[in-house]
Amino acid sequence: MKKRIFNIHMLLFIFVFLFCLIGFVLRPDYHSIHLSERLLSPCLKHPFGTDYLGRDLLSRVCLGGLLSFLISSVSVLFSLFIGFVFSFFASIKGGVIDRFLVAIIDVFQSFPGMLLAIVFAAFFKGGIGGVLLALIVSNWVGFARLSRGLIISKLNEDYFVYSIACGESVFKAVLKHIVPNIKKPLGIQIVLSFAGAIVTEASLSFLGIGIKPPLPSWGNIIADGKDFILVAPYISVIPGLFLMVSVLCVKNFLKID
Amino acid sequence: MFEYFLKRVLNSIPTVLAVVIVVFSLIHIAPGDPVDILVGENATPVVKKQIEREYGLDKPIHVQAFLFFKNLIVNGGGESIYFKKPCFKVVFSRFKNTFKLAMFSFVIAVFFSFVFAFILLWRKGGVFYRMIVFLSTIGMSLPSFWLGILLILFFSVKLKLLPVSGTEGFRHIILPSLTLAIPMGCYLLHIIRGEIESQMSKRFVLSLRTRGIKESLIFFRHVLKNSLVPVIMVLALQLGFLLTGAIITETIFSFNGIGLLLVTAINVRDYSLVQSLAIFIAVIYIYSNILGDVLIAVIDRRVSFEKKDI
Repeated sequence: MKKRIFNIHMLLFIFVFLFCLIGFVLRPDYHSIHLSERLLSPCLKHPFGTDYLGRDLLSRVCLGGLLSFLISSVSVLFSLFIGFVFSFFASIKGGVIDRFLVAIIDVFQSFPGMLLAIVFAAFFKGGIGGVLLALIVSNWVGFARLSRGLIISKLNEDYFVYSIACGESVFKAVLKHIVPNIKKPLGIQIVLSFAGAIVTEASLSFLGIGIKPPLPSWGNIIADGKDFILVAPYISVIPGLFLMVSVLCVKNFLKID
Repeated sequence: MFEYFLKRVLNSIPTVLAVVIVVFSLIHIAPGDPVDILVGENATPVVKKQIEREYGLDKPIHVQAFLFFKNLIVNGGGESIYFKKPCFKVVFSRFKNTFKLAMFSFVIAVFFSFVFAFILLWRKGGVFYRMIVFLSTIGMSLPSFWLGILLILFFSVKLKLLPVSGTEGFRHIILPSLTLAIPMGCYLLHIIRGEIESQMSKRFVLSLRTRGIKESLIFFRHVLKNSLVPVIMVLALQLGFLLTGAIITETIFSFNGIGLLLVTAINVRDYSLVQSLAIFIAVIYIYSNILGDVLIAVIDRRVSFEKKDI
């Protein structure tokens, strides 16, 4: 029972990802404008319909998904790296450096994550780089705080003290003995931040400070569709459905319920 | 108790200062000339000179930081270029609406999550139970901007019951507050259910039962009180969610609060207003968290009033 739920979410997410990948490979034309085919409802030629410029929504949704997954995963990797390196030095050196890190974590946690992302994206004028930066700025704190706590809790363990006593360098000892022990909680944090990053990216693009048109993103497709909600509700509904399903699946990757 | 509260407030002062510094440094980290960021590239040299003097942009950085502080306190965050008024004046005039919206959705979310939690407890294990749990899992992952559009589609377009946008009356507040309340309520339901169920399986419940105490008494007097602590903790944290969720929700419904103000400020490139808003929201977030902690300490005597390590 436990294993099955785990697999379903994983499989569904892989399905969404493959759908986006194959969809985009088969229909790479996301930006050519056909004004004669504006706001078409889903039909055989355009399975997801067309938007207000006659662009094919299927390929836009697919590319949007790919971009979203790409940006989210890159941002999570960077945040993990920054947070881990930061907390690594802080917890090993201790003293002033550690207190400095705690203070920084405190400050960054006093902003609601989304606000931080929005403000950074706004000041850096959006675009893929801006979104990446905003996501990293709002995500790295979680990693820093978690890995600092975990590393510190393991520093007094016998195996670590022993390996230091045997003459191993602290750096190596942490990588070899502590990292394998804290993989699991870090993994959970990675998955949760990935889900959060997908939503944040879509929100930023929805507000117009994320991925810039003509590049599609689920967020900016939904925002475009908002103006045509009376005549073409499917424009916003379809990417939203994709967004919801992927977030739901990612969130439940590790959940055993 | 009061000492604890005072200590927390005093401890928060350096954090608030640091928040201001982070926001202050934004215009310097961001690409482009700070003057251009503040007034736009097309402003006349006279305006540029004035801004440069006002913010001390030609002076060393610590003087600028000091001027930024002074500006914040004395001049109400400097003049908003778009509204031609001090930033904080604009923020305060809009905050009333956001506060109303946040409270409204807060009440809806808390009320319904408790009601559903009780129903779930009562009907444990059935089809109904599973359905509610499943739906609440979905509800938690609903992105708010999409949920808002679905609500508009259903209530405004299909049923023609509620207005799509605006701020004026009671009818305008229903859809935005539902948009905020549904994901939050689902999350709360999740927490409350887990908390109550874990408390119900504790030893003291068994011992009370063996003493023949009525089930309802056990529930309301003992279990509910114990499970309230994490719930309040989550509630205090959710206030931050409400404030940031309001940014997107207000944009969808053109609801005239600070969220819409932030988006407007970003779109018209009124960056001093963006900075003031960021500080304002962060400060509210910090103090609502402190309030939550104090509330927990009042309810749960087990929480020590000592300062906790992070």
